[in-house]
Amino acid sequence: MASSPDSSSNPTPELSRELSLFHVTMMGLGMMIGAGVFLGMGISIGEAGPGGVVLTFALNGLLAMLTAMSFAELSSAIPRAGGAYNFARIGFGRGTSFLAGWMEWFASSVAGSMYALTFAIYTVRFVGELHWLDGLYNLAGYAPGSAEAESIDGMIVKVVAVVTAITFIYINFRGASETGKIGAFITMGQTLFVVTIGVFGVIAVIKDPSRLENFTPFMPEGWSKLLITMGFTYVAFEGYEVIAQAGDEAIDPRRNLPKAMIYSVCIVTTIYILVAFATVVSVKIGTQGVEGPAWQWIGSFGEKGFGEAVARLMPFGNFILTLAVIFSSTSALNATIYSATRASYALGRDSMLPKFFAFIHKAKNTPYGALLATSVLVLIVTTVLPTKDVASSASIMFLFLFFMVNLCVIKIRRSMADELTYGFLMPLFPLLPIVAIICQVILAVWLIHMSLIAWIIAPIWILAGLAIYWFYARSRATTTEDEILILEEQKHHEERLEGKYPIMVAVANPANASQLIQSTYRLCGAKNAHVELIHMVQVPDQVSLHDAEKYTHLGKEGLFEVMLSLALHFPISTTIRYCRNVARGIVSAIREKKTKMLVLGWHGATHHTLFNLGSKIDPIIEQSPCNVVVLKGCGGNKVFKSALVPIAGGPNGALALEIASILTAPDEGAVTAFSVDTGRGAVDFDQFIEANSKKFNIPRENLKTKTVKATSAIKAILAEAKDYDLVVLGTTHKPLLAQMGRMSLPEKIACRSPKPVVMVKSDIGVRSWIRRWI
Amino acid sequence: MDKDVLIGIILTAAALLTVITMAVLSRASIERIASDGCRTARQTLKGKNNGK
Repeated sequence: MASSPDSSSNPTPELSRELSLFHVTMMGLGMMIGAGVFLGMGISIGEAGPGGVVLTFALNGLLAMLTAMSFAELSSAIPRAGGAYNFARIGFGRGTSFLAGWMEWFASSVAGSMYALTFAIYTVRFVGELHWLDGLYNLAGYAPGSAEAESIDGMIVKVVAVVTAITFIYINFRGASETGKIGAFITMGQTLFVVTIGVFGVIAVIKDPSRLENFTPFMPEGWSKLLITMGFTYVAFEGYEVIAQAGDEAIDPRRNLPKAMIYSVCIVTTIYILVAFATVVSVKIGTQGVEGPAWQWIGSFGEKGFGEAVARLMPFGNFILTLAVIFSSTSALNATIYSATRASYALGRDSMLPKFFAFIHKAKNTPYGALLATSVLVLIVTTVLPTKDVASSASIMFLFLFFMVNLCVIKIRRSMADELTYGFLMPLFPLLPIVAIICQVILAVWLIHMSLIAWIIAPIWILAGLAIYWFYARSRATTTEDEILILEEQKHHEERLEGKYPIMVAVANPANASQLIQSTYRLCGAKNAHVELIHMVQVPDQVSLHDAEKYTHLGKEGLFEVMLSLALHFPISTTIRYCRNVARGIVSAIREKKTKMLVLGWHGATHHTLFNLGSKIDPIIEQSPCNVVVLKGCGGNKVFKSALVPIAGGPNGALALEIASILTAPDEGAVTAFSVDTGRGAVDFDQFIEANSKKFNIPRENLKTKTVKATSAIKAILAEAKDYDLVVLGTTHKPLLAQMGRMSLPEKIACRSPKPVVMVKSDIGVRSWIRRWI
Repeated sequence: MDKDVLIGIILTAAALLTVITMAVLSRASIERIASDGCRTARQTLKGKNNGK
């Protein structure tokens, strides 16, 4: 088999696969157990109360698990670095992938700012506890502990955060990024510390059960506050994005990446619930310095509330907490700057952002252009925005990003179920991603109550991204091999096609073309159609796309044959495209050309055990967003004088009646609507035709009806079919991948019928689809 | 016990239990897919390898 010289002479460099399940799980945990919980705990207790904070983390864990399943499925099928950007590119194309990369860049950068601020807040707090800042307060003329001194604290926090961010930007520039292996042990330390807090909380309650009174009142501010705190702390569950990025370096990624994502969410949910419980019971009402209810006292410290609580829970709490925050924030800061730089670099590399973003430093071998742009973003957010708004902005953007990933998992499973190799398939598909999407939208909207600034910044960033894509990236983006490319296209002038019904005819080869001509001619005549002839050239993965043209010969011959017969009567456009998968290519062309009917040939029963009608036909019927007409044995100069249309009552039956009336001889042809009563009642034909008469043109002149009683519908239909020239069947509508189950009744008849068969599927529209699916 | 507390405990326990159950079931599913040697979504859902 031919291959491009490039591919054979230049071996593709690959990263060595050294990260085990333990390492990638720890990478995810390292990102999760960080600023989100340290900052979010105190603020959440203040907002939602003692019970609310526990529920916040429990319900967020459940929601995070739903999205983790989407990430797990996609990462098992596409185990490459790139994460959401990659998924969006494969699922929806370059526009959506640009937006995903653009949002990922912002989300990671803002998360970086949040980690820098967390580091600074807890470090300054610790130094303040040691009275090392008193000299500074005295110099400014303020008493330690006064409101003025606190404003100085705020400024010091900003300065420390900026210095920390610059330090890690420089470390990233040097290329000394922390490896997964070393990071795993740091994360182990962080995790152990947080678990220790939980254990101390439980011990405190066992020793003094009266601490449980801290949970009264349970939800003092009402249940609606839950939505705010859930949205605010959602960033604490953002770790699967980092695991997805490890696709190139993980051992057995199809197995280990989904496991790591699911394990990490399960572990952090348990730990967070435990820690939230411990934080609430950490202070005893009435002890020195604790005024009012415990939740109010902790909440009054805002982002420092967690630290104040833990300091009272365990010996050396302050010191150990500060150490944990330093470790977790810095490792997460390093990872987020790395991740943000990688996201913007990918956009620059694919020419979606200026080339500057793809500049690589010759000596350090790091993407300094993208790093510089990321640094500007991180430093501006760190300096300008209050901590609460920074955390809210990061959460909103991650919610939008995960919303997109949940859409990707639905789209990719629907359109590429026969192409990708899956290591994990989520259960209850597509219910789980749909639930996750709805919840994420609600949380993102509710965050407006926490931070109006975040809700102004996030849409502005997204709109700016859309504008950049529309005016800059759209025309410059480089093409990937996943996309379907047009080799030759001959179009008609648009004005000639106005008002015409667009019918697409998929031509495979000359033999297949001769099967299609006569029926297509009748369909086009009845519909006053514009014909779009398409030939998809399937190029095997091993073959360079440059060699695709040599596969077009048979297709060109087939197209020419159909053109000869139809060109005099109807406006015809022809297209030859190459693709990696024919079904996906045809479905994509249908969407692009807004086709209303697809006509294609079928050679008959398949011996394939996985597909009912064939590996190309099944996905086309399942996914085509238009009416589909599949012809079997309809070639030559056959005249159909009688057609049998088995009816079960669905919309496909109505389309089958319309198509049968078109394909039978205009004057002498007769169509028989046939129903089999197997004990569940027969179809009321009058009512059926009346109900479908608005959408389908079903002439009653030559229409006969017949109902028989039988125990087997298949046997009855096959026996009846012997007396007819043609059998027209409607396919069965089934939800999504349920079609992958057993062969349906129409499919069995189509395979066994000795007479020419036409199978039809009507485009039932989104609303009908949702209604049927529910 | 206060009604809110009761609902809160039930919700928290249910959420945690669901998360753990999903993790356990997912792990089993990943192992089963790996041992079956299934490839595409269609193959996996049909439980056939088809020699690919």
